[in-house]
Amino acid sequence: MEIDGPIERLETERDSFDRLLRPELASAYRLAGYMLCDASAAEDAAQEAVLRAWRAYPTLRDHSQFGPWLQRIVANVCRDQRRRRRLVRFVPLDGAFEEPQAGDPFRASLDRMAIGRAIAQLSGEHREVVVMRYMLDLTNEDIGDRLGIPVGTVKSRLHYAFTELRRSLDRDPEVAR
Amino acid sequence: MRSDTPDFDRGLEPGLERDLDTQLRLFFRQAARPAVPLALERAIERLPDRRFRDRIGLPGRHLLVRPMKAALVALSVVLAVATAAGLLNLRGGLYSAPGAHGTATRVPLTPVSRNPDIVAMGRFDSNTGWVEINALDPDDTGRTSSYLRWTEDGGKTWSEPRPVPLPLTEIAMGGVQFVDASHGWTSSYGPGPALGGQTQKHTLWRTSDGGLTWQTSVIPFDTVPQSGFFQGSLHFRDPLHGEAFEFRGPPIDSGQAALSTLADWTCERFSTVDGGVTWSAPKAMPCMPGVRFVDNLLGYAYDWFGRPVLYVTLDGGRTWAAGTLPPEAQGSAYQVPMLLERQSNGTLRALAYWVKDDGTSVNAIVESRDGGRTWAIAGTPSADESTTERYGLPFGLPLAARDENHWLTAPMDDGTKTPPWFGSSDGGLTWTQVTYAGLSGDVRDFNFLNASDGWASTKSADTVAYLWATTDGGATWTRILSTP
Repeated sequence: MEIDGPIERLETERDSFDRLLRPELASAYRLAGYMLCDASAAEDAAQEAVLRAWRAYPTLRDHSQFGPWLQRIVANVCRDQRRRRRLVRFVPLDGAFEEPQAGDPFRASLDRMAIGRAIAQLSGEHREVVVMRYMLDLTNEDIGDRLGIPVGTVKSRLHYAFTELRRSLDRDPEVAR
Repeated sequence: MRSDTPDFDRGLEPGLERDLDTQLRLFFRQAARPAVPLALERAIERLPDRRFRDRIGLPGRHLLVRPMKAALVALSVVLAVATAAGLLNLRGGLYSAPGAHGTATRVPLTPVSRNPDIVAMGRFDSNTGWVEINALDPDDTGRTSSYLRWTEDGGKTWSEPRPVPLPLTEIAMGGVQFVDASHGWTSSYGPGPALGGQTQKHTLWRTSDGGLTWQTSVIPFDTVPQSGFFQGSLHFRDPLHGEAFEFRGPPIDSGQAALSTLADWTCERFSTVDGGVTWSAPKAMPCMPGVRFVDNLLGYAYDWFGRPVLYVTLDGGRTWAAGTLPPEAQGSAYQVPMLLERQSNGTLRALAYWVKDDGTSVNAIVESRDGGRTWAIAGTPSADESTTERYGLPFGLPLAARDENHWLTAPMDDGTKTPPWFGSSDGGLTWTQVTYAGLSGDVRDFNFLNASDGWASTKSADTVAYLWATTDGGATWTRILSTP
């Protein structure tokens, strides 16, 4: 007799993870892309998030919450990436926008419109609430859940994000014209 | 879904808010929606498999299942045949050599088939040691077989003690362990020779001559269920005394196994005082399918049900302390000790890893001064800024303690990066990059006899498994075995 039971169940666990992941993967990648404004970093972040999700998958109690759970992980990975990048990256001065990398669809998309350029200049904390609210269409409560912060903090960050956005738009030469 | 108007509580000028709100909505409606890059798709297809999960110390539900499966399938059939043919306990066969392993080096080693991995190794002194190699069978069935290699001259020559001189595909051990250069055990499942090939039972294989000859007896585990979780494991602390752990629970395909209630599980321990010939009646024990042993006596396991508890045994698994982890570990999805080491003053020191429900991880050095009953954080591992900036915290698995202060890690390539090696000389608190020479490939495991003398097993991109030796604490390495 072969002991196939446990092996089959392992495959099922992986299968169920794949089944839940596939519909969410593009959204997770784009969330990372607009949070980090960098396709290459987004690819790394999405991959790391999926790896973390796979490692933590046995602890996910409610599989119907896979999507929000993955979004939380993506947000955390992006936050970690920002911290790492902060140590070596130059901060753009006077609203100068870094040249988009050739072929980077996120940077190209952001750079196409003044509001996109303003989003890209937001601080990481402010950009993540804006992206979650307007790209994922989440409520403040849901954003708080994804980021692990109180709703009041979400509102506060949105407020300051809007203030930043308005300032950036006022400085944007295209808008100024 | 969110409301149609921004809700900040303290707003900007309402007209500006609405204008920005409209612009943002419009932007994300029109924004590019890049497809998932092919490289990302491929990376996800290569997510770490069970073996990797076991190595990083995550809940190892299937820790022994696969090796056992390999063992069972092949060994059971063959040994029944072997028994019938009167081949068991042969000492004068092709590969056996009375009295000394060294003489066996004159006969060729059985060629290892495809995609070998060194899955276990042990050392008794600077000269004597062994490795278990697991490789795919050549018949394309996906089954694997294990091969034992033995050295008594520090790796210059290797012999191949085997249960019986049978074709290679019929030998599968899986999970070999030795407590000294003579006494070793492995197990199999199926219609084994101990029951005349009739009944599905767990067979214990034991040797008292370093693997030249093997005897069998029955481990009184329950029959492996057709559905539901099952894991059995063995640990011997000396030639006579050992424990057999059996963990049975509900099916895990719902993803709920680690969260199921204790009432759903049966976790039992059997003891032997005669080297595995006979076993005691079952005794209840904590459920800890991921149990690991540091040496013959010291073992540990995380709590299968997500409680912040670290189980520790100091007597080879006979008794266990359910130690309480520090408050910082409360509320974590699970807790994993990545390395546990006994300090010379008796303190137990572990590099622990907690994963919160949101997937974030926490690393800490925890210590227990009361034999594992209570644990406190002794510090947070750190590395210099340039290291953490590039690699995050540098440690991963394999992770080894050369001695109580000198720890070494060669983190695996997890698909995103290939970090270099890192070392700590203060018991895991601070880590710096270390240089090494002579070794190449993906390090699968370390085994240090002392701070200087160690082995490392690697797997290269061309699927060759290598064993390397160092006598200077890991600075320089010499290849002592390659397979195939």
